[in-house]
Amino acid sequence: MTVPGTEALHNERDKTMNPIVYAIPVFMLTILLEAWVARRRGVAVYDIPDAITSLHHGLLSQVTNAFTKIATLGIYIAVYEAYRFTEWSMSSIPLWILALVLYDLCYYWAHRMGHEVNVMWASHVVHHSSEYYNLSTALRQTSTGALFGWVFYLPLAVLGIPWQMLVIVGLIDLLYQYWVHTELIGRLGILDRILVTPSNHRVHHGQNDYCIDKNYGGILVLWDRLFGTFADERDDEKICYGIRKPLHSFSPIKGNLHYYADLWQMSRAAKGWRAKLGVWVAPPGGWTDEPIEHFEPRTFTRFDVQTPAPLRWYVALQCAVLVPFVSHFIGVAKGLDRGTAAVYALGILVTAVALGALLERFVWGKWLEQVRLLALGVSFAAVPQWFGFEAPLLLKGALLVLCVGSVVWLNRQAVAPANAVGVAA
Amino acid sequence: MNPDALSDLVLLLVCAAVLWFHLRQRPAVAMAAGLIGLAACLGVLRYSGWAEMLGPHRFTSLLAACAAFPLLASGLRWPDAPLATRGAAVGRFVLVVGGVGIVLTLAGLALWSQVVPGVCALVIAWTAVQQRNTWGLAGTLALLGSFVVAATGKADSNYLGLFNTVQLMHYTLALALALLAVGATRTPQNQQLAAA
Repeated sequence: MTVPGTEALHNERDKTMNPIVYAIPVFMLTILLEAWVARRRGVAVYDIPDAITSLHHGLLSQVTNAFTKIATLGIYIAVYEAYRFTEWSMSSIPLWILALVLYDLCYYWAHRMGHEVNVMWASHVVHHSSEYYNLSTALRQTSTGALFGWVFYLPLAVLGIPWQMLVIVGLIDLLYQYWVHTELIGRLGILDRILVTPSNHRVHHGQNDYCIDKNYGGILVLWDRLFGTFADERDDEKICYGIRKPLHSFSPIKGNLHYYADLWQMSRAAKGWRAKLGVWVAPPGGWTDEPIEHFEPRTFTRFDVQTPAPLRWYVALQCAVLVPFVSHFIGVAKGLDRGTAAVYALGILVTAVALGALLERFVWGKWLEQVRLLALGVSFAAVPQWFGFEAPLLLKGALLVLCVGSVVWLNRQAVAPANAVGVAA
Repeated sequence: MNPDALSDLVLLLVCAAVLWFHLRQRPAVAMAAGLIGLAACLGVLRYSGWAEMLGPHRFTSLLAACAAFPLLASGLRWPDAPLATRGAAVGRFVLVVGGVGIVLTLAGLALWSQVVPGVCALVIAWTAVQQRNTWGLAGTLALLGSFVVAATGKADSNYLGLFNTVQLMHYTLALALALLAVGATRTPQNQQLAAA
C-alpha cells in the first residue's frame, strides 16, 4: 500500500540505524546477568527452552517489523499530513514529556484492547505464553502486532506529534518495560503505585484469578488506577505465569498463530454471519457477565518435555549464532529489495522453527536442522557477500566448521519424541 | 457566531441530547451520536475562526462517516445484539470499523466514506419499513437528504435562499438524528415493554 507522505519516512530510514540493533547486546548481557544472580540466590526463574523460545519470538518480531513498519508508520504520517491540529516543536522538552505521557495513555488502551478483544489477544497472547517470568519474557513479542496496534496512536497524529517524536517516545516506552520483567526485584514502595514496576507487572502476567485483566500500563500505572484496572501484588498467593489455555510448544509459528487458529475454528462453528464476525471482536471469554473460571495455583505445573541437557545447550549455542544474523538483517533490511529480504527472513524463521522442534524432541526437527546447517554453512562460505556483508575468510571457515561439526554431532544424538511432563511451579 | 458555526452547534446540541437519553439503554446509538457530536464540536470551533481545527474536524468527520453510521444502523437493526447493548462492544466496533475506514480512505478509496453512510441509510430505512416506524422513516429520509447535500453540494450552492451546503447538511443531519433517536424508542419491543 502506498500512502502519501511516506517519502520522508523512506529518506529518513535510509540514514538511520534501527536502535534495537544497539539494544540487542544489552538485552543478552542483562539476561545472562539475571540468570547468574537467580542461580546464586537459588531461585528457579529460568528454563533454557522457555528462554530460547522467548528469544526466538523476539527476533522474529523484529524481522516482521522490518516489513510492516513502513506501512504502519505510513498511515500515521498520512493522518499527520492531512489532519493535524498543529505541529509540535521537536526542540521543546516539555512537549517531549507531554508526548511521552500521551503515548503512554494510548499504549494503555492499545494494551488493554490487546487483552479484551479476541483478534488483538490472538496477537498479544505470544507475550503471555511463557510460564516463567524473567527478562527474556520481555523479548517474547508478537510478529502480528502491526495488524491493529497502530489505530490507537492516530489521535497523536491528529494532535500534531511528528512521526520522529512518536518513534522515539515509543522506543522509550518499550525499552522502559524491559526491566520490569523480573522476579528478582521486590516491591518498590510508593513507586509501585505510580510507575509500572516489577511488582505490579508480575500481577499483569499472572493467571491467578486476581491477576486477570489488570495493570495494563506501559510506564505509568496511574492509568490503571484511573480506569479501574489496578491490582496490587499479594503476599499470600504465589503468582503463576502464563495463559489459561497453555501453549505447550516451543514453536514460534504455533506461538504466533495458535489463537488465530482457535478463533477461526470458533468462527466456523458459529451460526450466522454476525456471530461469525462477532467471534473476532468479542472478549476472550465471550460476552458474558459470569465471573472467570477459578484458577487453582497449587495444582499448576509448567510445560516441560525433558529435553536432554546436551540438546538444550546445543540449541542455546545455535540461538546465540542466530542473534548476530538477526542484528545484521535488521541493520540491512531497509537496503534490500523485498524479495531478498524475504529470503533472509525465511532463513531466520526456518532456524527458529528447527531449534524449537529440537527442543520439543521432534525427529523431523533433527532433519530440518541438519539441512539448515548445511545450507547455511555452504552458502555463507560460498557467496562473495552475505546480503551486503563481506565476511572475512576466517569467519567463513569458522561458521562452516561449526555447521558441519553440528551436523555430525546431531547425527549421533538420539532425538526421540517424549510426552510432556509438568514441572511444579 | 456565524451561520456555519451555528449549524454545527445545533448538530452538536442534538447529538448531546441523543447521547444523554440513549447512553444506558442503547450505547450504540449514543456512541454514534457522540462521534458525530465530537466532529460537530470541532466544527463549531473551526467555523468560529479557529483555523487549526480544520484538520481535526475533517478527521473526526471521516471517523464519523466510517464508524458512526454503521454503528447507528447496527444499533437500530439489531437492538438486542451485544453491539447495541454493551459499551465495550461499541468501543471495539469504532476502533475496527473506523480504523479500516480511515486506512481505506487514506489509501485512495475516498468513496468509502460516502458509500458506507449510504448503505447504512438503506439498512436503517429497511428496518424502519419492517417495523412500520414512522419516526424512523422520516429520520431516514432526512439522513438521505443530508448525504445527498453533502455529496452533491458545491461551496457556493444556495438552498431556498437560506442555507449553504454546510449549513443544510448539518441541519438535515441534526433533524435525522433527532427523528431516529425518537424512532428508536418506538420500536415494537419498546412498545411491548411500555405496555407491560
